[in-house]
Amino acid sequence: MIFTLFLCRFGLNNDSKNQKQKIKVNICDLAVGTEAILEGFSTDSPFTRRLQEMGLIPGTIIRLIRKSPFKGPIEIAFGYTRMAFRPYSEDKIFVTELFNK
Amino acid sequence: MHETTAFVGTPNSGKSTLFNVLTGMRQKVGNFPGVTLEPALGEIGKKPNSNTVLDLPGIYSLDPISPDEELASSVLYGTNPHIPKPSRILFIMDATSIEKGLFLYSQISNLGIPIIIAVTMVDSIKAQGGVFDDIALERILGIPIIPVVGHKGIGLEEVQRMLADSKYFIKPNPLFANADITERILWARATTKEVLSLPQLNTFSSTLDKVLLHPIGGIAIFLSVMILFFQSIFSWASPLMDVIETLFGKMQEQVAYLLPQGIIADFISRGLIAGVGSVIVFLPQILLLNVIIVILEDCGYLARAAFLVDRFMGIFGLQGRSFIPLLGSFACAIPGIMSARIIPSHRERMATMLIAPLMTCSARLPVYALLISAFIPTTMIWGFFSLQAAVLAGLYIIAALVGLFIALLMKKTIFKGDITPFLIEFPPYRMPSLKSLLVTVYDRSKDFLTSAGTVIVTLSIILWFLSAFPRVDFPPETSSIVQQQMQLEQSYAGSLGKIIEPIFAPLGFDWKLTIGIIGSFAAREVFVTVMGQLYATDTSLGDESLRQILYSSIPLASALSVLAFYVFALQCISTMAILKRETGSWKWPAFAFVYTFVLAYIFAFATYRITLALIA
Repeated sequence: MIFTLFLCRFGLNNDSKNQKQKIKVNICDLAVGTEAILEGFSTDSPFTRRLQEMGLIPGTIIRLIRKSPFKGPIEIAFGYTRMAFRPYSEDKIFVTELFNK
Repeated sequence: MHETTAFVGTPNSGKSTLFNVLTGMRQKVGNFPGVTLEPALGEIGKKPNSNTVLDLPGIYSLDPISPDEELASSVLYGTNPHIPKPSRILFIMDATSIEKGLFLYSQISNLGIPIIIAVTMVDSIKAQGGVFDDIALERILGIPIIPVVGHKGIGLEEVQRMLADSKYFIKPNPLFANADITERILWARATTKEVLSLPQLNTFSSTLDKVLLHPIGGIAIFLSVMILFFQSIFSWASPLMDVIETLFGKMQEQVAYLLPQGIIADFISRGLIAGVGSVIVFLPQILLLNVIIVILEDCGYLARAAFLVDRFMGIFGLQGRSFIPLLGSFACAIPGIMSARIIPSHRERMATMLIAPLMTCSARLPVYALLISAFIPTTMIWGFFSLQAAVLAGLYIIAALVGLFIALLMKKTIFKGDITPFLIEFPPYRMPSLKSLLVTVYDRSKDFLTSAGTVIVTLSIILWFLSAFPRVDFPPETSSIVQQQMQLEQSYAGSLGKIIEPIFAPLGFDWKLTIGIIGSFAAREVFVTVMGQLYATDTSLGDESLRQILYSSIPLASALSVLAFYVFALQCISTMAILKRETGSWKWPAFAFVYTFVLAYIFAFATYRITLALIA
C-alpha cells in the first residue's frame, strides 16, 4: 500500500501502467493467487464453448487458486464457481492481469 | 393421467439425491431395450395415480460434450429413439450455483415442456449468512419454486404434492430462443443478483481444499483413503462372508440329511445351493465398496481425487475422470464400465472401459484367498508385513499398472488422438444424505444380483450337470469321497478338461486345474466350487481342509501359475455383456477377451517357469 503511494509520487503507479499496455497472457502463465480479467479464447471448440456456458465469458474476473506440479491441471475461481482444467492445450485462454488491490 | 416427469439439472445440484429420496426403493431397472446408457427410472405417488419419474444425467447445457449429456439432451429434444420426450420437467437448481442453473433453464424454457422448479442447498446459503429469495425467482420466471433440503426432508411433501397433479406445472416463457451463450450468461447473472445475496462463498470448502488438494499433503491423504478402501475389501467384509459361507454349508448338510442320497439331493445341494451361495457370498463386499464409493462421490471428494490423479492418468493417455470408473471396477467391473459414460472423449472412454476388467474385482478375491492361504507361507516381512498380504497387494498393483500401460498402448495405436481437455467443477463439500445413500447402494446391489447373479447360478447348474453325468457305476465299498472323485473324472466335464489340458499344460495345469479355469471363464468364483468338488471335500467344513488337500496335491509352481493366470484373464460373461452394451458391438468384448487371455497366458507361463527354476 505504502509502496503504491510511493510509486504514485513518481507517476509510476500500476494504474497508469495498466492503461498504457494491456498484456494478454495465457491463463496458465499467471502466478498462483493472481486475479485477472478474461479477454477471450484462441479457438472455438467444444471445450471453450463449455467454459463459456459455465460462466467464463469475456469480462469475467478470474482468480487462479492453484496449480498442479508437472504441468497438471489448474484450479480457478470466478463468481460462485470453482473449477479445474488442463491448461496446456491448443485452446488458449487469454486474460489480462488485474493489479488493483 | 399417467405422466412421465424428467428430473433435469446441472451436475452436483442434488438432483439424484432428491430422486432417490422421493422414489425410495421403487426404482426400476431401466427397461429400454437396446439402450446403451440408461437413466434411472422410478415411480412415485400412490397407485392408480402414480407417475413415472426419470432421472436424467446432470447437464450444463443442451449442447452435449459427453455421452451421458447426449442422452439427456436427446431425451429432452424428443430425438432419442428409445426414450420418449417427457411430458413434464422437475427442474432442480442448486442455490449455491444458481447462475449455471439459470443458464440451463434459459435453454430448457424453449422446449415447450411444463416445468416446476425445486431449489436445493438453501440451508447451505442460510448457514453462510446469505439470503435466497424464492418468491422473487418465482416472480421473475413465472414458474412455481419449491425450496428443498433433500437430506433433511424439508420441502419434500410439497414436491410430492405437486408431482401428483399436473396443474402445478407451467409451460415456461421461452427465453432467448436464438441467443448466443453470452446473452444467456448475462441474463443468468443479472437474475442471480436479484434473488441471491451471498457475502462470501464456501470458505469451508476452500479452506478444506488447502489441505486436501495440497501437492504433498493432498496426495498423502488420497493414498490413505485408497488404502482404507482396499483394506475394507480385504478385511472388513470377511466376517460377514464367513457367516454366509457357513450358512450355505449348513443348508447343504440339511439337504443331505433330509433327502435320500441320489441325483436330486446332489442337484439341490451342489448345483442350486452352491450356485446361489457363491453369488450371495459377495454381497457384503459389494455393499461395503458401494457405500464407500457413493459417500466419496456425494460428499464431493471424488472431484478432488480426479484433480489429484489427472496428471498421473495423463501419463497413460487417460484423464482424471477415468479414475472413477476404474476405482469402481475394483468392486465389480459391471458398474465400473457403465460409469465410464462420464468421460467426454470417446477414445479415452473406450480405453478406460477396455482396461476396467484388469482392475482386480471382488470375484477374484475368493480365488486369491484360497490359493494364497494354501500355498504362501504365513511368514512376516520385517516383523509386521505379512507375506500373504504382500503377495495379495502385489497382485492388485501389477494388474493395475499393466492395465494403465495397456491403456497407453491403445491410446498410441488404435485410439490415437490429441490430448483432450479435462474439465471438472469442484462442488462445495456436502454431507451425503443417508437415505439417498441407502437407496443407491440397494439399487447397485440389486443390479449386481440380477445381472451377474443369474449368470453365475445358471453356470453353476450347467457345471454341476457336466460334472455329474454320465453316471458312473461304483464298485462296491468305495468311500463317498472316492466316489465323487471318480464321478468327476469320468464326467463330461472331466473329459472336456482332459481334451483341453494340452493347451494349458505349458502353464503347469493338469486336467483338474484346467476344468477349474474353463469353468471360471463364465464366472471366476466358480473356481473355488470346482476345486471343492474335484478334490472331494465337504464345503461345510470350511476352506481349511480344502487348503490342506490342495497344498498336498498341487505343485507350488502350478498353484502360483494359476494365481498369475487369474490376475489378467477376463473370466466374466457379465462383463463381456456390459462391454457389448456400452460399445454397441461384440467386436470390443471379443478384443478384450483375446488380449487379456494373451496377457494371462504369458504371465502364467513366466510364473510357472521362473518358480520351477527357483525351486530347483
